[in-house]
Amino acid sequence: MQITREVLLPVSADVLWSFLWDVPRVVACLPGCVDAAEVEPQRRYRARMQQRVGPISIDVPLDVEILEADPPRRLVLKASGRDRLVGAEIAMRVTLACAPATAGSMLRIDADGRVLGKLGALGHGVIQRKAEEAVAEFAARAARAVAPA
Amino acid sequence: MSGLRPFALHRPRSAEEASRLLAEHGGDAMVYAGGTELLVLLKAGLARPGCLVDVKAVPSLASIEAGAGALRIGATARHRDVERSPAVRAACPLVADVARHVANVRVRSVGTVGGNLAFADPHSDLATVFLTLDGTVRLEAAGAARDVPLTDFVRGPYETSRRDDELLTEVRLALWPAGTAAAYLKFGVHERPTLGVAVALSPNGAPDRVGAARIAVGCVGPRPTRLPAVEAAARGLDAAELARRAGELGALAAEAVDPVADLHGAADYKRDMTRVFVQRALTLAAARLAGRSPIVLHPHTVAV
Repeated sequence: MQITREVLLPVSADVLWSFLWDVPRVVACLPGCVDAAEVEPQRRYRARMQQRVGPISIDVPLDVEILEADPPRRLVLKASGRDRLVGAEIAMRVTLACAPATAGSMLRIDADGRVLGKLGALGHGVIQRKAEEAVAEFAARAARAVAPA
Repeated sequence: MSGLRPFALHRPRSAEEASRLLAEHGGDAMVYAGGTELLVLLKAGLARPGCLVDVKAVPSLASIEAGAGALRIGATARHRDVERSPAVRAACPLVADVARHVANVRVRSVGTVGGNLAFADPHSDLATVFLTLDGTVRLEAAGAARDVPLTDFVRGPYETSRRDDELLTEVRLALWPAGTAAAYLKFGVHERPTLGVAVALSPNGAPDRVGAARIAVGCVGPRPTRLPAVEAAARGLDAAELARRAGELGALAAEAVDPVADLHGAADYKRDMTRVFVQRALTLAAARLAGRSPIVLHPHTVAV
């Protein structure tokens, strides 16, 4: 499963970079993400991802590990976890690239992930669609969150 | 497969009582009818409701009635009931024939029309066929009801516009005009179809000239869909012309769909299968419009 999305944000790359490390604000932009906590500053985090597709619901505790941080341009993280009740496993690698643009900064989101277990058996189409919706919603909320008041 | 988690079971005796229970429990409740889809989810732990609202004992939900250009099928009518209903057979034989080929005999014996629609499995027959009958579902909540066209009801795989407090009580189908020739073709090597194509050709003037075409494709995109461009291209053709141009219209259908890759096949494969099966379904329906009854034999294909 691969998802790419670019969003133009009306702030400088430095401001955007600060936003990306502001865990509560980022979590507020991620639909279904709750209970985020810092385990090791700028290295490891924990969160839970709750998603619902019609009657199907999952609740996955995620370990988030920062793999690369090249301020203020590039952030690479890995998120993985398992819903024990469902037996669903999620592993994602997300690259966030910030580049100066004429009216602010361009944030490029590249998510490359896989879903295994019973949830994976639902079919690629469902999960891809849900993930695309989540990334699009994140982009929209992030644009609102960083916009100057 | 893990065991079932504990849940409370409610058995309301009326639609009102069921609606009240759904409103009371919100997202923690799930409607239980045939259980053919629900039990699979529960056993897999993919759904974890605190309570089930079993609507099988609500008599008003099981009825099937035809009249005034419409067919009304209650939500808890089973596929077997639809297959055997004289009212359905008289009003729209294709619906009865499709019901006879849903999934397998166990599912048909307990699975319900309302459950099938509400579950919105992307690989299902009914929603595709019902789109060509301008199907509308009735959703009832405490003290209020609304009718939602299937085009708006099915939002995507497993997702509908039904709110947690709403009960799907029936589907209403607008019957085709007299003389309409129809066909439904589905292909699949598994229990669920890989794709389904429904075609209804209504005559206008000459009995074998298409006045209105209704064409729907299911299981290919995130939800079943009508193909207005193909319907427009078929309009005005006579049966022989339509049969000659069926390949061209199949190609038009392949361009119009939004195929999603899944366990049934890649997007390109589904697009090409759409081309082939729209061509076949149009050819069959055109032959029927001309008064012929050809036998259709293709591997892994059901043609009704």
